[in-house]
Amino acid sequence: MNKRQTEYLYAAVVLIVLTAAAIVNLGYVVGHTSNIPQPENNSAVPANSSVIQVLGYQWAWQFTYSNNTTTTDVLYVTAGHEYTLQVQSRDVIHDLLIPSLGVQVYAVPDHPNQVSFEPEKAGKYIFECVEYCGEDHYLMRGYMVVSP
Amino acid sequence: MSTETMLILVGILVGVVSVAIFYVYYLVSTRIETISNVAEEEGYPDRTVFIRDSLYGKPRPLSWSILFYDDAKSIGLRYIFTGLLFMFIGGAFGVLMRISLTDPNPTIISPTIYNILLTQHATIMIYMFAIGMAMGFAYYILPSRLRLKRDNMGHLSSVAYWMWVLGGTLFVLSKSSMRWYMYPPLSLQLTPFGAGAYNWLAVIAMELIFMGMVMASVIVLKIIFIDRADDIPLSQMPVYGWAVVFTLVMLVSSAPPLMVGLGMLFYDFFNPIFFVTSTSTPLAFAILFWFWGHPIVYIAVIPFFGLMYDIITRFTETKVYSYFSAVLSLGLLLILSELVWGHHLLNSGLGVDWVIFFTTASFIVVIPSALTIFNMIATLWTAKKIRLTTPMLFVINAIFDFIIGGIMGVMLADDPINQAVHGTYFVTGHFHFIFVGLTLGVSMAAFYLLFPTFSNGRVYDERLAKWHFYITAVGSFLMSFSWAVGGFLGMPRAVAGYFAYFQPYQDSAILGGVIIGIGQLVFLYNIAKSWSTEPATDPYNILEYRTETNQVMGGGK
Amino acid sequence: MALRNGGTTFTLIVVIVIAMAFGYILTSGGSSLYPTSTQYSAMKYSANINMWADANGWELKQGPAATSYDIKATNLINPILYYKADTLIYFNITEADGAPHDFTICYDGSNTSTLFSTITSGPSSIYSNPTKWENTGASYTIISVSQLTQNIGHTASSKYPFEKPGIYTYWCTVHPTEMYGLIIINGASSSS
Repeated sequence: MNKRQTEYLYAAVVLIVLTAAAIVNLGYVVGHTSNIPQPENNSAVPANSSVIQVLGYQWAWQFTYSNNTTTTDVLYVTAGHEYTLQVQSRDVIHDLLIPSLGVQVYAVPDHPNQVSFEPEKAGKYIFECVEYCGEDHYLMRGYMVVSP
Repeated sequence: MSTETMLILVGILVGVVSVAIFYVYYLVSTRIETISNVAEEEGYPDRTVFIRDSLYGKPRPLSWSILFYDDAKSIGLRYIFTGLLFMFIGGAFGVLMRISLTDPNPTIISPTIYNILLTQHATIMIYMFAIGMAMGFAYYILPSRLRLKRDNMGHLSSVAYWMWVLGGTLFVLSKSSMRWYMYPPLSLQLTPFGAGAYNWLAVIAMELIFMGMVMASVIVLKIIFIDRADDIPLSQMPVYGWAVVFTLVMLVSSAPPLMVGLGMLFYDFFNPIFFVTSTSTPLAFAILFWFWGHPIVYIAVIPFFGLMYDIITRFTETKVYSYFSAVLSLGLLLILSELVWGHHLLNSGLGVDWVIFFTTASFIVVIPSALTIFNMIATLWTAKKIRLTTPMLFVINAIFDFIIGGIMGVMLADDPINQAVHGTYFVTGHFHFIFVGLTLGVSMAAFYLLFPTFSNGRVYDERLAKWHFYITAVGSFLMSFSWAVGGFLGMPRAVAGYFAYFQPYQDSAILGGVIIGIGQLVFLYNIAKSWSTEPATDPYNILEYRTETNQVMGGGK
Repeated sequence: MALRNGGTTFTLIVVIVIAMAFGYILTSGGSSLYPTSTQYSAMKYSANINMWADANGWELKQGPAATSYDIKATNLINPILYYKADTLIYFNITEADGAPHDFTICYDGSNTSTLFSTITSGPSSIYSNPTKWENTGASYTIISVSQLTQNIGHTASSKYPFEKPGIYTYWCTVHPTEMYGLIIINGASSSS
């Protein structure tokens, strides 16, 4: 195998691996559009999902459920039910992350975002703000309680 | 302290400083006068041209005169040593941040100070250290590598350098805590709980840094394209030359949007119209920022790819495996890396099309990086022998760390993974693998190679240098790897405190960070110790070519 | 003019600059209470506090004061003051005994039940060892000694925007063990 052939070989390997990865990713994105943060005004809420209004402010998360109750820094959901978070911010840019469910959505002032997710297992999970938002950014965190 | 004692102390201080300044002024002015006389005898109308011409083609050791002479090598030395100085400041801030995280609650330093350190560490390391080293090596190495015909824009380079230093210093003095993203509306909150009371100063400082960088980039591009010796065609320019070209073209083409954005941000302090919700959206600034913010991380890497090629070929005594593919992949990096910036905003609600385009582009940008690494591995593979000197060890470690960091980058480009780990320590681990392993490692490799030139023929202590390498490599791997694991479990970055659940990952990262710090102290001790030995070697080496004597005729056209 | 020992010089410069940078950044707690003009305009509520500066303690009325903190006493000294966040408080301090006094505050932390109980009761509370809670490094003097003029009956006024919820300690730097108290700023009604 000469120099040129080796070069083509490793270029081809790199190309194939990355193309495959890109196609897998594309498939996921196209198939799960409701799980990707989108502006609230140009996407419909999926059927059978409960809307939770999320308000991020310096330095707490406030959740308003469909029955108008409100909790701060605690999110109560039920397993096996789909929820749609409509996330807003009162002051600066925040970013809500629920790591164990892979849900992440920015809270941008005047730019409400929406994302859907379905918790499957009951338990207590953490969530946190992952966009630096000022002094007590680290305290902008809490627990998501999934009841069975 | 009473007012009287304070006044007396201030008076004494002002007196001492004035005397010192006058003494320096006296030294400089007598020196200038002597040089002017010599220049006149040699038939030069201009003193500075005479200095540049008489320094031409010689290795330039470190001296105080680099601050006053404007030849390319002096400028290069200024950039290299200022970059190193800021690396130590930024590194000390980083180690302090690590130490403060030994407790899940911020007890050692307050969150306000933590956030200031966070902002300063990131900004110093990127704008002052990485850019400083890239610019410094370009200014220092290229004149002898490309055997410049003339070196006549030193004044402008000097202005660019001082603007950059002033910018960096003012940024530290501003105590800004807006983080290097500078997202408004946070950066518009001029309180200690937001972005710091003096954040307006930080915005001015950033603008100064940018102006300095862009000016210097244009001058280095001019050096490469116009002042190169006639017998070095572009097609035979060293890979390092190409790497610098691509880097600086990228810098010059992607900096203007953010420079304009910073101007608008500064205007917003007085009359908020550009990045506020009533008339616009804060995301507009985020988009402007990342249009620059993604290229900058390639700017901190590509010149060091060029240096790696150089060091590998010299220590294996072969040629680059494929020169064409090396230059082509660096060029592709220039084009593709300008198209992937949107992946920093995948979760900010800019729509599905945005996600599709930028994730796909992020996979494509890995192709040239992978080709570069394969090219280096092939060069090593086909080499008859490899001399494992300290610089070579740093380069091999850089390849190793870049592969890990690169694979983590590919994972981040995958949208489902990105949603789970964006904003966590996984990202921090990803770029610290690359920045500590590659940017810092290769700068140190190049510094060790140039050490005899800087120190006028001294030899560094090989044993201490090896210790420096091993400590840095182990520390950086431990730190970045702990972050990668912790981040995958959801450990958020940029926080002064954390859930106690993440304690093991934080603790091992703290250990790694402290180890890196110790490694750099070994480096400092090494250069201080080695410099006090007697000159024992030739200042020319593989990065500092022996060039013919002055090609420039008198008058310095 | 080549450096005899550039390495040592560089090392010295590095050490000096790092020390300066640390000194500069780590003392930045002092400025964190310094109010900015935007903070003043962002206040939603306002309140008045009238107190007499007496070396035996801050009094709410002029005259013989209670000797310790007793909520039922007729003339309460060193009171705990409760306000909402985003309150602009006007402090009107009157000189009561002609001794030099000033009015200084510092921030102790967010108002959690743990911090509140530590700071108000027990051996490490402010009543047992006030200077522990008087963080002079991160303090802000609202009314200075010279503003209060040491003329009995002279009133000096100043205002401060309490933007951040939490527990603040206030005291007189001249009499830190006698004249001290707490201002508790409660957060916006975030939970319901």
